[in-house]
Amino acid sequence: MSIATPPKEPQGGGVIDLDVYTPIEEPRTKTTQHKGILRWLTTVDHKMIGVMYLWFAGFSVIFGGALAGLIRTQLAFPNGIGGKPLMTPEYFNQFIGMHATFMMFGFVIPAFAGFGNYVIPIMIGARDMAFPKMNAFAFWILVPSGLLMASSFFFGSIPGGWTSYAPLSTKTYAPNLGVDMWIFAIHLAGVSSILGAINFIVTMSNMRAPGMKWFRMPLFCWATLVTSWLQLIGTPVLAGVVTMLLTDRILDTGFFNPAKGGDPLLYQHLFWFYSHPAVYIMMIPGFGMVSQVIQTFSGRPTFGYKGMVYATAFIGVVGFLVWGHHMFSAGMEPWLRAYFGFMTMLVGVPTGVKIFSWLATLWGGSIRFTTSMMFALGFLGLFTIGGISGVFLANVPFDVQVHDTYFVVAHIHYVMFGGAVMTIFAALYYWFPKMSGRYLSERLGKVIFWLIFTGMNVTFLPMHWLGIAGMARRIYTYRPEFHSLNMIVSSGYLLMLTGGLLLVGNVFYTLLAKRRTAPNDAWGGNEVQNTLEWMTTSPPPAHNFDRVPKIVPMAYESLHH
Amino acid sequence: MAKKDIKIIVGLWVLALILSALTTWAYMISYNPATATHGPASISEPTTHWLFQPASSVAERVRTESAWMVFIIMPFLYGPFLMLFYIISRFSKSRHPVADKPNENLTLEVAWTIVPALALIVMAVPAYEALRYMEIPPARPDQVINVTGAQFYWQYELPRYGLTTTDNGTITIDAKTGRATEEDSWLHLPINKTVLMNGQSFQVNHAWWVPAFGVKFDVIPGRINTVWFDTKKKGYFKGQCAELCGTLHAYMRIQVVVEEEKDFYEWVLRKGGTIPEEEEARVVELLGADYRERFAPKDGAKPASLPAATESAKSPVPATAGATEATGSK
Ligand code: HEM
Ligand SMILES: [Cu+2]
Ligand SMILES: [Cu+2]
Repeated sequence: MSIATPPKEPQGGGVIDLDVYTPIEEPRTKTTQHKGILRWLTTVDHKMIGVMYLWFAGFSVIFGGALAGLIRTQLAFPNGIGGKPLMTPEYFNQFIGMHATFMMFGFVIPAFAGFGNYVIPIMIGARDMAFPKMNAFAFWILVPSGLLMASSFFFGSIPGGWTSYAPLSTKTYAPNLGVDMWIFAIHLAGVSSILGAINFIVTMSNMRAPGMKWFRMPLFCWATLVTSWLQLIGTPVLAGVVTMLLTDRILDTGFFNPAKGGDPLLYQHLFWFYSHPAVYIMMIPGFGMVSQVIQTFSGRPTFGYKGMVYATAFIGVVGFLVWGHHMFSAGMEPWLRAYFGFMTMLVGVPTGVKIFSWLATLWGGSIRFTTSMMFALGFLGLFTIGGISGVFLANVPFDVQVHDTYFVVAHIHYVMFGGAVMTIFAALYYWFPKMSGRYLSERLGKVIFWLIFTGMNVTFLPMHWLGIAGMARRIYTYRPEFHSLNMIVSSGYLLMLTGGLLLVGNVFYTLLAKRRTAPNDAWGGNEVQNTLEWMTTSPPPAHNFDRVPKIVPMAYESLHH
Repeated sequence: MAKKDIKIIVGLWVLALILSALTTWAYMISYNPATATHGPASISEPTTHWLFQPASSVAERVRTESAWMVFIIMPFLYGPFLMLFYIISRFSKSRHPVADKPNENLTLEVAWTIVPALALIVMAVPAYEALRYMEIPPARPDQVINVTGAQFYWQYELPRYGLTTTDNGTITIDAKTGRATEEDSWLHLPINKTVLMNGQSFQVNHAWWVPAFGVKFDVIPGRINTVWFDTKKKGYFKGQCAELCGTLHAYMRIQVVVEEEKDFYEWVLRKGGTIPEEEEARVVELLGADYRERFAPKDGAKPASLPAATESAKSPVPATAGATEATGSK
């Protein structure tokens, strides 16, 4: 195989072959020794690991989605069917906790890690990640984490939602093993997260191909870099707080026990110190992926590339200074409420910069409405709604009214479903031909998009109103006046379910029944953005490139020195 | 970018501003404090909330402050949406086969950083005024309530009257009267008074939340949180525990009755509360000098014969578990 002919100057700048770069030979030879399943189990190839992350994410989203179905069924029939209750509140509370945990730590983060693993080394012109074995370890440690988490169901699971606030999660109120298992699962996922983050940071710092300057990296690389720093700094704090919870539970310490001089509020502070940055860990890579998709299908390179990079970095930094906005009603110093409110509003500024940049990229483009692009455009609209409700929530007096209500549920789903999940679908359709050599069905893809897009709005838009009108979140039955809206919400789930099942079916059908037809530049028009993954075969060889590419400036780069 | 494009973009944003102004206007007229003077007349009516049926000055304050927020923020929702629709219709491959050359415009980038930042600052000012208003309780509140969240009920202490009552969230509507039998065990408050609430908990976290009062605060073991509000409307107000506290969290519903001062004192007396000296004169004025004989509970729970004219006379006070327990514990 060879790298595609360099696109003609001056349109796109491009790529020159050069043998200046020694690949990491040792791990690669190891992977090719085995065939079949053993090959997957022993591989240290970043692409295969990336694909395994994506399978993991796929299983998680199916599991998490099924739990969502159970939650919505209960809320459609809060008094049971024919007088018979559908489930006990114990189970309901475990379902909401597990749904969130699996969707965030099992689906969104691994999916981003999967795309990152697959694409980033190729995008920067490297043979593999910096630490291939550590990469494999980071993935494989996620598997027991997921299993432990899922099996905690048999031991009472977490009774207090994904946040597991103390004291509800302490031994007195949650005597079961479930919480301990959840803690260990978080530990394992945390180790995976930290190792993955180190690997990405080192890879991008050291392994960029000659000529691939920092400010020539595609935006997805930047996004993953910023995310990796967030993971590296934040995850130890999460590990710390759940460890404190663990010792409170099994060693009878008193970190969160006021009778022993502890404070339950400490749990919330430490938890959100990680978990607010975590919400950006679950969004920023999506920003990056969407930038790639929009460039490709609008035929225009991202407007204000550097502004995008700075905005992403700024979100990352400020993300560590706003955790208190999850605790406005928990009781804190008045000036602290004012501070956290103001900092949170500030996050809206770089978020706005990103949205405006995408719009300016699209303006004057020649847009191809592929499924991938439709998900990207859907993302743009839905995420704007979520960002705006986020700014509403930064207003402390307003937040106090809607905190812990369905309004917040609506916000998190507009940013996480309308945001992160839409970008994952966009990226799936976008890179699937690269990863497998096969195209997912475009015609079915559009049906899937409309089902998911409509279903998502039917499900989550009415929730804003429910929250304002007085429906608290995490309740398994509610006052009768909320019933009609909840029926609408639950029916939206059915639309999304249909779309999701079609997608799963289409992925399997494509993998099993379709032939490899994708050329190097599977979507055409790579001369616009010139990213390297489209300059190698689909799927790429184990070593990515026969010759190490050397990057020369793109024609339009003079615009953004 | 062509001149024409700039005109169109400006046009779209002006349209966004107009839409935002219209939204704000619709929001403003959706509630008229002059006509909306009553809360729900019975507990069976739907929940009321701070946005369209505020029942306290705090809620009203948040409502007006939010109008400003809607006006400032909504352009940033409508603007991108209008642009997105326009882009989709004009720049599709079929209508615009060749993409424009890459371009850059630093002024534009600076503008779309600065303008939203300024907008946020403008938005923040009234938000902070409202926050201050919420945070500074009146120096001499008319009523002080100590609320305790427990798994799974709310307990209210009115220290001034030596009175405790427990709301376990259930509502049983009496078919004959149309009223809930548990009514007396709910929190009652006199109208047009300021209320200071101290919240505590001894087990897990809960949050006391009544949307119409614009009040939500967590009750957390080991600390006492405080909020204030006032009662501007008579009626039955509903709330809900807003912090997951265990299996029956959904059932930790809150019911509050705001009523005339006279009815409030009758409730206090029915529940076995004592009237402090400084309020004695007022109670005599409202209920008559013989109020003790007329309203004191007999055998702990049953009130003496009630004057037939009053509202409360329609519902004989039941000896529900909560009520008995509460009176007994005084
Ligand atoms: C403009 C940007 C954003 C702002 C200003 C913002 C603001 C807020 C605020 C103030 C809250 C607290 C609400 C409450 O509980 O009372 C919140 C909750 C939340 N936000 Fe955002 N947000 C933004 C973007 C995002 C993004 C990008 C994500 C993730 C992809 C996200 C995920 C969440 C989640 C998961 C919660 C709820 C956590 C929980 O209580 O379970 N937000 N946001
Ligand atoms: Cu946050
Ligand atoms: Cu509760």
